[in-house]
Amino acid sequence: MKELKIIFAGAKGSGKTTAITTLSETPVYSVTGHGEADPAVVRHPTSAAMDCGEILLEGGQRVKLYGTHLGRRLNKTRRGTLYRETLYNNQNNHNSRSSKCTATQGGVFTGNVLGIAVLINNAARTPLEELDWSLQQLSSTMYSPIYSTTAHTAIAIGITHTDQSNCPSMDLYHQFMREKKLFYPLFPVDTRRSKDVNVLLEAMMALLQVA
Amino acid sequence: MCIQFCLSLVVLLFKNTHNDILFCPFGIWQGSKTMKPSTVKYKISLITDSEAERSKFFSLFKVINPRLMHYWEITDAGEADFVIVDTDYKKSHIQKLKNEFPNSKLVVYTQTPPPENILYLLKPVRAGNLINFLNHTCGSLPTRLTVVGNIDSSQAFIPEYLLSRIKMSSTSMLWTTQSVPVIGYCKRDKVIVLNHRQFNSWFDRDKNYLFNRVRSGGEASNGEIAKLENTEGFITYDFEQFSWLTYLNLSNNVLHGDLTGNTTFGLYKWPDFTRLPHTPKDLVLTAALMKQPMTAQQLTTHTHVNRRRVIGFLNACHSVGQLKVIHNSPLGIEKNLAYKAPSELIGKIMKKIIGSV
Repeated sequence: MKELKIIFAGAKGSGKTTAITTLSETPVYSVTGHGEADPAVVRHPTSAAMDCGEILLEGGQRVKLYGTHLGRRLNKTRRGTLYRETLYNNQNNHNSRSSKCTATQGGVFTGNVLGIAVLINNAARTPLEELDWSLQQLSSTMYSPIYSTTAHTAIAIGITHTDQSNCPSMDLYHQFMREKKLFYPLFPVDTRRSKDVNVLLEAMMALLQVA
Repeated sequence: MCIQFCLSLVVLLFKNTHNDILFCPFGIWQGSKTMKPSTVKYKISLITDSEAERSKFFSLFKVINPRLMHYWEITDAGEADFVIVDTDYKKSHIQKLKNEFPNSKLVVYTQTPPPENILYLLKPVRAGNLINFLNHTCGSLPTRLTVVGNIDSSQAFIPEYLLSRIKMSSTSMLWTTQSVPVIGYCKRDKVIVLNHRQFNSWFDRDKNYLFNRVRSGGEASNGEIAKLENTEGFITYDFEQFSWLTYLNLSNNVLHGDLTGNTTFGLYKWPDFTRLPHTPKDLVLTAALMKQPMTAQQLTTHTHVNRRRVIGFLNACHSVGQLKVIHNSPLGIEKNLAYKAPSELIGKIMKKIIGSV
């Protein structure tokens, strides 16, 4: 049975871990950048570890939930300049060493990815820029020849931390999307609330039905 | 202390001047100065034998007119979309009046609620009541409408505009469709649905008492409203949610206002489903409309969603300002749009998601 994936992608502090914890029916565990899965791993906020969770379906089928970094990082070796770390740079990590979690930061987009939820922290310094960057990264990743199975992947965008900052407003996000001619579902979400995170999943399922 | 207070007032006024909406903490509030959120124009008329009542009503009407969503014009009874009959002065049988104005929406203006199932407006009418009444009952008017000027329809039905308005009043609201009356109690930004057909399970043992109080003119005291809000089992909505729900469930398979079956619709954006009650079908309809503008019939055909639901969805989107009229006639559907019935996997996931909410 093929592993099905739903990916939560976003910058540091965007609520990926919270979203997965909210949805997952199994204990959420972290995987380091080397593909080692260990529930005991205490993830450093800036580490390259991924979060993994699962939704259990009828008939024993499982949908894996992955949280992966999708944002800009400051590379210490190039201090002062913004070094863009792309997901597909990490191709060497495709062969996972973990029996529990078969994807790593680079290889997470391979396989049967049902949907990708992009989370944007509205309290970040430049959330719109972050969204733009994330969508560009996603676009280049999805249409990269390495990842051939993502043609039917649904994308939904969740704006988090709107309770901490209401600027930019949701209208600005929608305007931004219209200008870019992108019509992905975009909602304000509180990743602590399962109802909100479920809406992202529902939107993905709807997109998969209207191909 | 005084300076701090003055400064906070200035900040409040400044903050609320964006989107062309002015808000004053003392209750003197004015709606959009430059444009209405709707392009539809309605005609209103009052039939009464009392000159004092007429001048009182139209004085109030002129004051609130800038704060109405639609364009309104005072006219003769024969041409009016909305005929208000003062039955306290003009004694006449309701049925006779209905026959007299077959193309108009008849509203009884009276001190005591009429026994008939008809729209009514209670005296003495307050500004908040009249605003709510005119804004939200005109959705069921006949289609004798005029579209006004070159107004960007993207500005239609700005939710904040409605919400600001509703927050200014603490009032009862009457909502009606052709067959099912829906009465909500509105206080500030909360609406409590009392007799929503779809949500009968929410009623508790006090429902008849509360219903009768609302039906008898909404004179329940603030204490009763407070008590009602604290009653478990009732669900409260903000105004936008209430509007959405009402149109979604009670559209009676009829497109409202200036929408027609031949109109090709699109959506400005995805409605905020984290706040708006919905079913998975609503998301499928949204996904289809975001991908390709369609008429109601095309949407029904291509998504395999029940037509009644499609109409309700379109009306609901319209009510929260997210429906875009693309063209007045049907446009062709792109070939690459195809609806796939939910696979077993999607079905399982949806079952899981819905079950976990």
